[in-house]
Amino acid sequence: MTQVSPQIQLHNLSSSDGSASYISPCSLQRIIAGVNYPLEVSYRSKEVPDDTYIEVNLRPHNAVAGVKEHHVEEVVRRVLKSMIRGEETPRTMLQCTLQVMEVENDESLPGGVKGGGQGESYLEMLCGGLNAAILGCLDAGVQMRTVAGAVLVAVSKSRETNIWPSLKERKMAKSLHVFAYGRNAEMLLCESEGEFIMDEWERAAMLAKRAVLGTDDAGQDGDVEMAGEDDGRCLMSEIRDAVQARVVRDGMGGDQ
Amino acid sequence: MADALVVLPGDSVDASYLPTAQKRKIGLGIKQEFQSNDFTSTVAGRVEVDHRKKSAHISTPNARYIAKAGDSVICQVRGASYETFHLYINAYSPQAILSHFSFEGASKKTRPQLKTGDVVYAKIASAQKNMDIELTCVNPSTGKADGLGPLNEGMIFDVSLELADRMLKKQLAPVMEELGNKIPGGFEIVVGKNGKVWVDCADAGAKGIIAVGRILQKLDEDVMQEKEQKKFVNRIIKEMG
Repeated sequence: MTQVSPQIQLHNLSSSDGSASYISPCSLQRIIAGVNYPLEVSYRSKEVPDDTYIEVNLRPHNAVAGVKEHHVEEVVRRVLKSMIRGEETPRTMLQCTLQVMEVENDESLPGGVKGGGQGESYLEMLCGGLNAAILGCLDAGVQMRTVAGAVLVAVSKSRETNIWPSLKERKMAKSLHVFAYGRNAEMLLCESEGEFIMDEWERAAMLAKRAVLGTDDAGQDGDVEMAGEDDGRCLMSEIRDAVQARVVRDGMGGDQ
Repeated sequence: MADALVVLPGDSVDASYLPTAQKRKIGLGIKQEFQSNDFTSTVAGRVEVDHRKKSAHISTPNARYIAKAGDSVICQVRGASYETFHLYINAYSPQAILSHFSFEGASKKTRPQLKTGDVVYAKIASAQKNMDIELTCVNPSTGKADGLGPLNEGMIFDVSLELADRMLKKQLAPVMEELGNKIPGGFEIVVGKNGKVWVDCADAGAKGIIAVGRILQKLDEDVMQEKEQKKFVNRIIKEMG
């Protein structure tokens, strides 16, 4: 199985405070996030006296948001809430708009199946949406406790765990899992779907941790090691590279 | 030139990297851990340390200008009332007010005559939530204009806040100097923190202004080393004819 790393680009919208585009590996799903922060809270009743109100809007590639999207919005919102230092900007709002631009289209399946339909799993959208939202927040200069990355893992019928499964692999999978890990290897999110046993779940979690942080024991001191032989680059170092590329504009940076 | 240290939220910032003076100012994005000497960053960006001012903060490229007291901005007159002018800073800020008397040498009898559409370089005196922004064109302690005031002739260019910041920190001084030497008669430039740049060339006229504008645009879009920047300046000057 060939591993490709996700493609990240920061600040591709000119009029929002922060934005990012995220292309997840293998599944060709592209999501653009636009983050505006800090804003005035639109309705006074939503204002939180000692915290930042977070609003997440998700739009699928071909329709208006339905039940599935609203559920994903809520999950992304809760994860963001646990990462962001909302107390730094009380009585304001962080608005995060996610737009799915493209989803995978597999012509080999009968009728050419597209991912991201209403009847399908919400997990791939959750994984991409969360990553895009976190990147957007980084670009917008939101004060955060930690940085996290989310990974989608599929467990096949033969109990094999696949990271970044393709559309076909997702269709065939017995269970699907999304894990989000913070930089100190703390699990911020785990959502699962399908039938699985504890052992499979643990293996999937381990695999996800390695995909996000590189080595299993990546510690606090930041510099994340390259991942194992066939794992490509880990998500955290991709994020770091993207920020580096955004911040250091020319040779004239630094203090003079 | 110091190597730029880029951090993500949660990265530890080594205490030895920061100023150690008693009265140091640790600004945005760097937080001291509770009951310890360690610092952690809370935003993504570049750690900027100024040992002379004993200050350190993390600079993140901002996309939106938020008015802050003490900033110099370029704004446009949108109307006038009995004692004040009403000015526009950007689409996100509330309207700014500028008293007729906050100009150098202004009195009841000699008031500045500003029409709608005129452009002013002013300092923000106060900016608070839910209130009009107050501007001034005079240094209150000396009564002098210090370069503030109406901007006549010339042209305004929109640049990113990042570029405006870099220009205000004089990081682009070498290119600007080169450009000034090449354009006949030189040029005048005013940089507002709100991402507006006013340019005027008295001798070279519109051609010169456009040359400067093109260079600003290029500096904003591309990552360029000093040498490339100078090369580009030469190219633009040649094309200007």
